[in-house]
Amino acid sequence: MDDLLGDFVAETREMLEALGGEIVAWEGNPGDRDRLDAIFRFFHTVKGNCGFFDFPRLQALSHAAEDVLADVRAGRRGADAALVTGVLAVLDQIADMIEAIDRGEPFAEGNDAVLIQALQAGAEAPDAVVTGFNQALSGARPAAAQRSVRLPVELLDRVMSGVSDIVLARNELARKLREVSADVGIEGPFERLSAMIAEVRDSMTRTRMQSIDGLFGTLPRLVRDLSAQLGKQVMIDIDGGDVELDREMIELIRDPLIHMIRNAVDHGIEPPAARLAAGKREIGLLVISARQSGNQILIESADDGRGIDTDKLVDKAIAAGVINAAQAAQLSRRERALLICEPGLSTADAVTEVSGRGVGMDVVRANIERIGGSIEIDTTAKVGTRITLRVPLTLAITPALVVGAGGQSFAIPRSYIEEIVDPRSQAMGIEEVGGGLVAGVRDRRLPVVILADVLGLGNAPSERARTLVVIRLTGGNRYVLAVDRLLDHEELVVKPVAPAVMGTTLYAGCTLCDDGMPLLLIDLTGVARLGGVDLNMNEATIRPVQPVGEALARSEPVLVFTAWSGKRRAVRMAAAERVETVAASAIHRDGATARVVVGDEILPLAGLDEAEIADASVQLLRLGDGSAQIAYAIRGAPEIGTLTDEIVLSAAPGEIEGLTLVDGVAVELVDAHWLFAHRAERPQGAARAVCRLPQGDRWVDSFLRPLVEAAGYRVVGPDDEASADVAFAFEAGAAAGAGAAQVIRLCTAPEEADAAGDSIYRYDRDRLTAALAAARAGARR
Amino acid sequence: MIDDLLLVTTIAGRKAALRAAEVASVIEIDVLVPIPLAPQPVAGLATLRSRVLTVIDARAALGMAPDTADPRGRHAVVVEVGGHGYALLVDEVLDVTPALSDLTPARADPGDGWAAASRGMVETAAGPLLLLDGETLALGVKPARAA
Repeated sequence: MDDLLGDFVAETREMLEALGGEIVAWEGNPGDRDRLDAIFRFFHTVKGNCGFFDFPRLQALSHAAEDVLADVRAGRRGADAALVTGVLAVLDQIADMIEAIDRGEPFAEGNDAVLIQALQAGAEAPDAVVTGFNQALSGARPAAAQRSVRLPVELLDRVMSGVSDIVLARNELARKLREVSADVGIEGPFERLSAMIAEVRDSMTRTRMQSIDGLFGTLPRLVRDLSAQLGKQVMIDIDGGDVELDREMIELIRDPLIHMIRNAVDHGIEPPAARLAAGKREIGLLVISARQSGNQILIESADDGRGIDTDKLVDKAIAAGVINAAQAAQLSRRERALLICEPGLSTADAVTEVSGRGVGMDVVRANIERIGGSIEIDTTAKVGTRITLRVPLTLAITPALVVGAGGQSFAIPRSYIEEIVDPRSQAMGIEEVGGGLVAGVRDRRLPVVILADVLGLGNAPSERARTLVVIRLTGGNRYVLAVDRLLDHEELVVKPVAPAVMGTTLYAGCTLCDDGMPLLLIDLTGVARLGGVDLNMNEATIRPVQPVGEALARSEPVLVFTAWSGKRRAVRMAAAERVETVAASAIHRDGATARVVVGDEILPLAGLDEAEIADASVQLLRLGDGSAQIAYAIRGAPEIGTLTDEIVLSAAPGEIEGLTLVDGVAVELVDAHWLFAHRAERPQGAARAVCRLPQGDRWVDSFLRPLVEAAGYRVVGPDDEASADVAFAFEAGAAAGAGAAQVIRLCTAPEEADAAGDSIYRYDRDRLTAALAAARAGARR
Repeated sequence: MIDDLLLVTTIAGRKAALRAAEVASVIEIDVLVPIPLAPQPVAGLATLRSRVLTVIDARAALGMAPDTADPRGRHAVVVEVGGHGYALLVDEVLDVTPALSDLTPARADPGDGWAAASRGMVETAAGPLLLLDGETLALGVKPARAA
C-alpha cells in the first residue's frame, strides 16, 4: 500500500509540475483544446486515484475542478480569469495536500468549500484564493523541485566517472585489438559493446545535465501570480530553455532568478495606468533568456519598466556610508547600478509583501559570486533594466576546438571563435606594427597573439602559426590567435584546474580526451592579456550582443566526411547522390587520374589523392550534377551537417572551395562545380551524343573509335536507324557521313589539313577532340 | 598516532613518510602533460583513470631544485586537497609501515622547506622518519593565500 501511495504522490507531483506552465498558457488562449484537455485529465486522474486511497477532501476538490472544466470543454462556460484563478487555487491546494501525504502528516486546515465555491459561475475570487497565492509566492510550498527519484549528486558523479573509466578502458582495448589484427570473432561483439557504452555515457551525461527549461517552465506561473497580486499586467517571454547546464547549478540559480523576477515585476514594471501615461504599452514585457557563452552561461532578465533610479541609489549609498561622495563621482554607469547589490540598499519607497525589504539583490549577488559567477546590471531610467547573471559551467559540456601549439594540444572554447582563417588565403594579411603583429581580417585590423609564443613553447618554424583563429571575447574585444594546427573538435566536460594553475590566468579548466590524455582549456582572456592585447581598446564599439551566425541567414545542408588525406571535408547535399562500398580492386589508377568500376559503370574517382589503399574495400560518395557522375573516395560513413558559417575561400580555385565550420568543426568544402568541370566524363546513356562510324575498318576500330568514345559518344554502325549527331568523311569530297547532323572531315596527310579547319589530319588529336566536343555541344542544343 | 599506517617514500634521496590515511592512491606516471607557465612545484597533468591530476614535483614543493629526471614510469602519491587531486612526484615509494610512536618535534632543522612541510618525527620499524604533510606539499610550502 505504501508503495502505491508513493507512486501516487510521485505521479501527481510530476503532473503538477508539467501543468504549471500549461494552465497559464491556456488562460492566454482559452481556445487551446489540447491544453484544456491536459488540465482536465489531471483532475480526472487525481479524482480517480484518491477515490482508491480514500482522501475525500482531495477527491471533492478535484471533482469540483473537473466539473467546471468539463463545462468549459462542452462550451457551457468560457475560461475567464476568475475561473482560471479558481482552478489554480485548487491546484495549489492539491499540491499542498500531496506534500502532506508524502510527509505522512494530516492535511492542513483549509477551507475547501470556499475554493469550490470560487469555481462556480459568477463567483468573485474570494480572499482565501488570494491567500493561497501568497503562500505559494512566499515559498511556503515545500519541495518546489519535484522529482520522482531523488539521488545524491555525489552518486551520479561516481557513476559518471565510472562510465568515463569504462570509455577509456574501451579505447585502450580498441588500440590493443587493432594491434593484434582483429579476429573476425571479436570485432562484432566489440562494436556492440562500444555502441552500448556510448549509449550509457550519453544517458549518464544527460542525468547530470538538465535543460534550464525545468526552471524556466515555472516562471510563467510565477509572473502571472505576481502580476495578479500586484495589479500589473506582465507578459513573459522565455528564450533559450534548451540551454543545458549542471543540475546542481540550476538549483543554485533558481533563487537568485526568482528574486530578480520578483524585483522586475514589483519595482521595474509600472502599473498599467502609469505605463500608459509614460507612453508605453499597458502590458509590461519581461524577457528571460539563457545562452551559453564560452565557459559561461548567461542568464538574462530584461524588463521594459521604469529602470533603477541610480541617482537615488547613489544618494542612499552615501547616506548609508557604503561609499563617500568622492567615490560616488567616479563611478561608471554600470557601477552605479551595481550599488543595488549592496546590503541594505533598495530604491523602493514602500516595502511590499513581494520584495523591497532591502534583502534581495545583495543576496542574489552573494549567491552568484559564491558559485563563481558575476552579475551585471544595465539600467536606463524610464526604459528598463537588464540584469545578466554569468555563471560558470564547470560541469557543463563545452564544445571546443582542439588546436596544436608548440607541439602540445590545447582546447579553445568554440563559442569565442568567430572565424578561422588560413593565413595563406587572400582574406588577410599580417604586418608588423610597432613590435606587435596586426592582422587585417576583412576590413578590421586585429592584434595577433601567437599561442605558442605566449605560452613560451618553442616550435618548428615550418609548423609555426599556420592557422589563425579570430576570437571574440565577451565584451566585444576581438583578436587573432595564431595556432600551429587545428586538430579536432570535441565536446568536453571541463573540470576546474588546481588553484596554482588557475592562478596563471591562462587556463580555464582541464579535461580528458577520448584517448585518455589530459587537455588544458585555454582562458582566452588571460592569453590575450599576456599577449599584450589592449582589452579596453574596443570597449567603445560594444554593441548589443548579437549571437554570431544568427545574422547570417545561411543554412545549407552538407555531408561531412573524412577524406583520404585524413582531413574533414564536406560536400553540398545537393551534389551528393548516395554512398556505396566497392572493393579496392575496382579502383583503377592511371597517374593522377583514377576511375572506379561500380556495377557496370565506370566513374571518375576523386578524393583519393596520392593515398595508398590498404583496406579491402573503399567507401564512395557518389556525386551527380544531373547528367554526369563522379565517385569521391571517403573514409567511414558521412554525417549530415549544416553550413552556417562563412566560407573562407581558397586562394586559387581547385578541388577545395574553402575552409568553413560545420557545426563547429573546421572542414574543407569540396567545390563540386570545379570537380565536375574538371573530372566529369561525358554523360552516359540516353543523353549521349551519337557518332556514326563505318564498320570493318581497322584504323577506325582501333584508333578513331576509342577517341570518339572517350569524348562521350555512343558509336553506331552505318546501318543503324538512330540519327547520328556526327559522322566522319575520310576522303575529300566523300559523302560517307550521310545521315548525320554534322560531318568531320579527316585527311591522311598533315599537308592536306587546311587552315580553315574544314579537314583535320587524322592524328591531330587536339583538333579532333575539339571538333568532337564542338559537335557534341551542338548536338545538345 | 601509534598504529597509524605510514607510506614511506624517498624525496631527493631522503626518506620521508606520509600518513596512509591521507593518501588516495599511488600511481605510476604514464603520461605527463606539461602546463606551460605554471608555477614551480607544478610539473604537469597526469591521469588516474578518468581523473585529471595535477602533478607536483615534491622536491620543488620542498623548496629544493626541481626534479629534472624523466618522470615517466616513476611513482607519485595521490592526495586530495580542496576537491582537487594532486599527484606528488617522489623518487620512490618504498613501503607501508605502522607508526611505532606518537609524533615528536623534529630534533634538528631538516633544512629547505622540509621543516615547513613536516609535522614532526615518528618512530617506525625502519627507524625515525620525518612525517610530511600531504596538503602542504600539494599546495607548495608557501601556498598563495590569494588563490
